[in-house]
Amino acid sequence: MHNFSLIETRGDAGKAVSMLLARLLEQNMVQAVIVPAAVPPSVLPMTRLLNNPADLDQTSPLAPVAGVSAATQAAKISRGPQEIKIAAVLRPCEIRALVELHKLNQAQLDNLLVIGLECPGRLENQDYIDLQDQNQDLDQRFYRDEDLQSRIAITCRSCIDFLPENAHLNICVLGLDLDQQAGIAWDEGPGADAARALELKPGQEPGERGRAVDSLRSQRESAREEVMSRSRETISSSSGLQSMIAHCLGCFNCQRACPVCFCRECVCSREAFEQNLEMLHTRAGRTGGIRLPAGMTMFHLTRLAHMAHACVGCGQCSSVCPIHIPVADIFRTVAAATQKELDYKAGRSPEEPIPHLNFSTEGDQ
Amino acid sequence: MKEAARALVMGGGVSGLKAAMDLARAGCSVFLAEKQAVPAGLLLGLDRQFPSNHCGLCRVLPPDPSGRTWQACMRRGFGHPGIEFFPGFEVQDIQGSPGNMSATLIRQTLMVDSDKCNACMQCVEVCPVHMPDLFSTGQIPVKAISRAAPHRPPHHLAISLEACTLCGRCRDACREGAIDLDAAREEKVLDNLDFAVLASGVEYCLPEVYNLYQSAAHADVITTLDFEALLSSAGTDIMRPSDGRPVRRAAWVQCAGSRSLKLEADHCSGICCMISLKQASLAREKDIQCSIFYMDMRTSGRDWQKYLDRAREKGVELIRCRPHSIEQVPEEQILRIPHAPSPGNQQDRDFDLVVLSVGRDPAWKPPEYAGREGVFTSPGSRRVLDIARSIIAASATAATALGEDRQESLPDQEAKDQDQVHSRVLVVGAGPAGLSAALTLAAGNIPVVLVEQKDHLGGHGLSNISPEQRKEVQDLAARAMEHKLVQVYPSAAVISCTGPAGGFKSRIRDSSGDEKEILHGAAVLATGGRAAPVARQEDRTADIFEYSRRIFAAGNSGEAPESVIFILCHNTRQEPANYCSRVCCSLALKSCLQTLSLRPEAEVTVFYRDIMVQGDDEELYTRARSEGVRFIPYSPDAPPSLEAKDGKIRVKGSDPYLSEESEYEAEQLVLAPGVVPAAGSEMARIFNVHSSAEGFLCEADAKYRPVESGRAGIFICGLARNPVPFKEAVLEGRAAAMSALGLLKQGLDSRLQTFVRVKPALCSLCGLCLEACPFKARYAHEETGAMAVDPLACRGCGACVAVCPNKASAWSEQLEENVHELN
Amino acid sequence: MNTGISRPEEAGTDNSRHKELDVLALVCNWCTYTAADLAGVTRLHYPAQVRLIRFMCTGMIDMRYILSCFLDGADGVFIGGCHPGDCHYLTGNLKARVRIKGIRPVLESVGIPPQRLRLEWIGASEGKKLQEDLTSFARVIEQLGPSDYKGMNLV
Ligand code: SF4
Ligand code: SF4
Ligand code: SF4
Ligand code: FES
Repeated sequence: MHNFSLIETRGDAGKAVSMLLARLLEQNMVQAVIVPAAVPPSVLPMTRLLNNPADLDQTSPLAPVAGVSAATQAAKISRGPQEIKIAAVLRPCEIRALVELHKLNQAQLDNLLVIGLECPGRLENQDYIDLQDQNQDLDQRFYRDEDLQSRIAITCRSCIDFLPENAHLNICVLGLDLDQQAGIAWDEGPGADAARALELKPGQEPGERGRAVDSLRSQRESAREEVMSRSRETISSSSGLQSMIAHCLGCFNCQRACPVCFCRECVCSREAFEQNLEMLHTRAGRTGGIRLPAGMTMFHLTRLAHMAHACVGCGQCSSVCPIHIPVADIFRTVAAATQKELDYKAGRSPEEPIPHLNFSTEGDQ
Repeated sequence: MKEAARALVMGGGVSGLKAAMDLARAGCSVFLAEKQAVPAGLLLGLDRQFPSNHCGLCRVLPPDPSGRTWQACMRRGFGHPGIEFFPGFEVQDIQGSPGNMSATLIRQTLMVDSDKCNACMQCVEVCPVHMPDLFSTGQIPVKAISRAAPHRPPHHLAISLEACTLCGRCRDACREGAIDLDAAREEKVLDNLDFAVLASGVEYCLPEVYNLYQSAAHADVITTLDFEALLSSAGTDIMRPSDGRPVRRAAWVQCAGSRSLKLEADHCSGICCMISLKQASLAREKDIQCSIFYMDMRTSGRDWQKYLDRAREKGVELIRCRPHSIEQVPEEQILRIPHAPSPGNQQDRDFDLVVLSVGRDPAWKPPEYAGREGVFTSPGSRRVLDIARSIIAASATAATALGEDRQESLPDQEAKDQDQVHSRVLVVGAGPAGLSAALTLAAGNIPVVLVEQKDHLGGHGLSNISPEQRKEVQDLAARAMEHKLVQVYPSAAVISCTGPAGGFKSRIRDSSGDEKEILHGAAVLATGGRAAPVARQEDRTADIFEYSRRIFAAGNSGEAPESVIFILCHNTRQEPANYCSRVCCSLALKSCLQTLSLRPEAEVTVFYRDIMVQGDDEELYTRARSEGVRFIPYSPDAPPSLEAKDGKIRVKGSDPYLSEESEYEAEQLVLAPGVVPAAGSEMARIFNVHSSAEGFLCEADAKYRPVESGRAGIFICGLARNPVPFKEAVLEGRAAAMSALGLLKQGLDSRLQTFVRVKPALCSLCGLCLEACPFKARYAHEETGAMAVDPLACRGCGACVAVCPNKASAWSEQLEENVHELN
Repeated sequence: MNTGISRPEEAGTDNSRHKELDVLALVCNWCTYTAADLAGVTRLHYPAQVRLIRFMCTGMIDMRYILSCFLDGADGVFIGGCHPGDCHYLTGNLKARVRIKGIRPVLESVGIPPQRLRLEWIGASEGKKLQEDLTSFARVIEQLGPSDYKGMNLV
């Protein structure tokens, strides 16, 4: 992004950002805000829709946790009336999911002011709740405490796409002392309009930021290589894949938590109930009988077939799996291969057409 | 109300099939007689057809979710609930008058009982009569008893009674008793016929019969029909018939049996140039050197000139010369064609194979009963037509037959408007095509709204040049004005058209700006074309249409210039207007002749690239030459240059064959810049259909669905679609009307079934199916936004079902089971 | 989808089932299936382990059909459609092509090598090509041996 401005945080970066959001509402740049907020007695910030500036000081825009992926909600809300513009604070993976959802007609990007958050990773929901007990200012401390950072969700530890893309405005945290300052970056267009309304003055971007990003990236890249090659190896045989899928409870949590799985109801979840009994009996006659509920391998393969091109690597599927199957590792591994083959990257650009709709006559099979 | 009309269609080739299916869709009971065991006629052996180089015959089949219509390659068979098919039968005679006609059918092909046959092939083994192998796989001997068609399962054998001697050996050899030779003499009589349509095509010229070239008897001198078999993708390399060696050099000799006064064949067969170009292009893919000897390359359709250019790019060599002989060089086992590409420049060229490009048999005449009252002959049974034109001609003939039968069987419209299907048809454009469409529909009891931009009917005036044609157009216009079912909106334009087929909603704006909404079930776009503009520096220049109009206007007492020069293909047949306009050449020839008849001493010169006259218009060319018109060819790289001097026009041209410059002067210069579509891209936008770069409206399938646009319920015809002469515009108008009529008939049928459905509770409105549907059959409902299927547009491909991740897009209930069974 | 690979009478006879390789050919009704008839007429035999399954168009072949074939124990899946430009439904074959391109990496990642899935264009008159393509495909499958998923009895 071209413009960068530092804002004073006075020891609470979350609050500083909240205030900016409140200003956007006051200035009528937007009519609503989507941002995480924990409403007592709950301590876990969940996505919240607000339209009263006074409510903003209850929110936690920088909380290192994502109750569920906010992309699904932002997409849904964005399909509302044209007159209501909404600012949505989203993580990079959530923006990527939003872009994919937009291509599938599930989001109306024009209605959104997308505010991207640089993301060192998120904590699992339960970890956040536990840590919150011990750390009063967890949201603020997280950004300076490497120990806390090392506890982020397993998928996040090997995420290399931690910088937001396709946002109008970015909240910058890397390479900055958040107790003093946070950064806001923007480009021409709606982002610049918002920056003007917020009276942000473009300034110099501190050089440490570049270094911080680079070192995080190289650390993540090697982690990712390790995870991926392990998982590539495991799933590349039917028994390896089965060693994971065999435990699947068939709860469909992973599918429901997936921000790009946009079907109202997964075709596989229906099928699990509509199994053709005759077929089941036939198969039951083969070696070893048949595992019930049936169709779980088919479920995971179907989801891969349908969505590997669109997987944004958010890790939500792993986070929600009650039996701790590394769903996201499987998914990211297959997604990397698929997206490479199709010369596509999930969430890269709202203009990039869905590869499966490219029926051109060119080329050979 | 009278019961459904009983119609006999003769010929099961592409024309006959199309006519039969159109009539069946319009509600007639149809009888279809075909002398072969399978339908498809000539196309049985024709795998690749220009200009797409693909087959697509199956695309004439109507989609039918009930599954009662044959839905597979027709070379394997045919079945249609509204058509009684008589394979193996030919009509011998037709007696009686319309409404009470009877036809006698005799057997031509005898089928072996396929239920009994176990494909042991004993019968084929013992049959003593050998036949030429038309399909070239060479794997199985071809005898009088043989497989019915190559694409048929092996136990479908048939006996050609033309060849069969009834010796009985096959019957005796068959242990299953599947052969009943007595049935050979079987006759069928069809009574109470209301009308008959003759669509059995023409016979092709056989070189031996006419002794075309002395070497025609040589095994390596074959016809284009034979070459088709060699090309058939069933085989791999192309081998010489004589010795089985691979062919490396092949020549095509055009006009074998056509354009010849000696053979009394003063006609052009119209499609042979394209056939040769296609064969040569395909042979190039097999790395064969290809040369075509021709006089004029008659690439006279919208896409054909471009096809020629592509053939050239592929390396097909074109030699402008009609060879006088083909010599055999026995020592080298080759064929030699001596020729003179330019005067005095004698050359020999050697080939492994020579293909004679044959056309209509000069002696061929339609059967005698073709002339009887109540028998309608498709133009495709008078002259050779390419596939698209055959289809159009067949539909148009069916429409004419139905119109004269007054179709009481069709629903009385206004009363029948159903919730979703409106019976009205919107016709845009009142030129020859639009008027014919409107009148055909009205004759079928379908109310028509005819919108014309001008304040009068009759079109852009390209066709009312000669007095006879002008009268025809005026007559059409007058009939349309009078017809109570035709509502005419002159000086008006359509500005929008929304909705699915059967339920279109269009807005019409008249010259005062008033708007009106019209509900209609289908639309025919016939917005025509006009003369391409010419840059005119001198007032002694006219375009061909002006000049002709002028010279014909005064009848036989008018005045003609003392000297006139025509330049044909002026700025056309090259990018960006790379197509032949099809009207200029014959108009020019007529004008030459008229000029000479008004002023016999007039000096008439024609600069041309290829004279494109087809069918019997060839006579015009012959006459013009014999009456002294000077014809000078030019190449588009060196077009004649113009200069105005002393009130005269001076034209300098270089004849590429004589390689000499020549200079002529004349009082009058006539340019033929061709025609351009009048409103193509605008119409395409309003009606959401495709148009070509030149602005012609594009059809769903260039060969097999020529008058249907890609959007169901929108039909296209006439000059708006492609350059056509007057008569063809009329045929296209009728054909488009016939298709519209069939669609409405289907739509008004209350038992409308669909292939697919949308389960709204599951649909997330992602729109993937919208993108996947190749027939624009999917739409979001205007008010509810819900995804919907247009049953009149859907052809059941299942792409939407496959693309929908959630199976909200599903097969219809009755199909769901089949599909699973199938899978 | 019932691919017909496991016939009830085979159940229990265990290993016998694994010896034979199963190749499923999902073919288009209009072109490739016609070619199969033609191949039959001209006595061009294709390998016995190939089972032809007819679809109206390759464009209606859901990715899930391909997955079920493999889960069901197919060792190879062959898809035969019309040549580009020939599809009865205009672009069904191109849809099949992009779908196959997309599913190949998925299969490969889970241990089904891409050679086990092949797409070919076979025109109505190309009985010979059908035979050649099926034969060469069957040969490739033979070399690869039984699929990793064979006999896993997965759904
Ligand atoms: S969340 Fe886990 S257990 Fe539930 S369906 Fe997904 S993989 Fe299976
Ligand atoms: S593809 Fe399926 S979910 Fe998407 S719009 Fe079509 S029917 Fe609805
Ligand atoms: S995509 Fe669906 S709606 Fe469109 S033609 Fe095919 S089956 Fe019909
Ligand atoms: S009809 Fe053959 S692939 Fe579509």
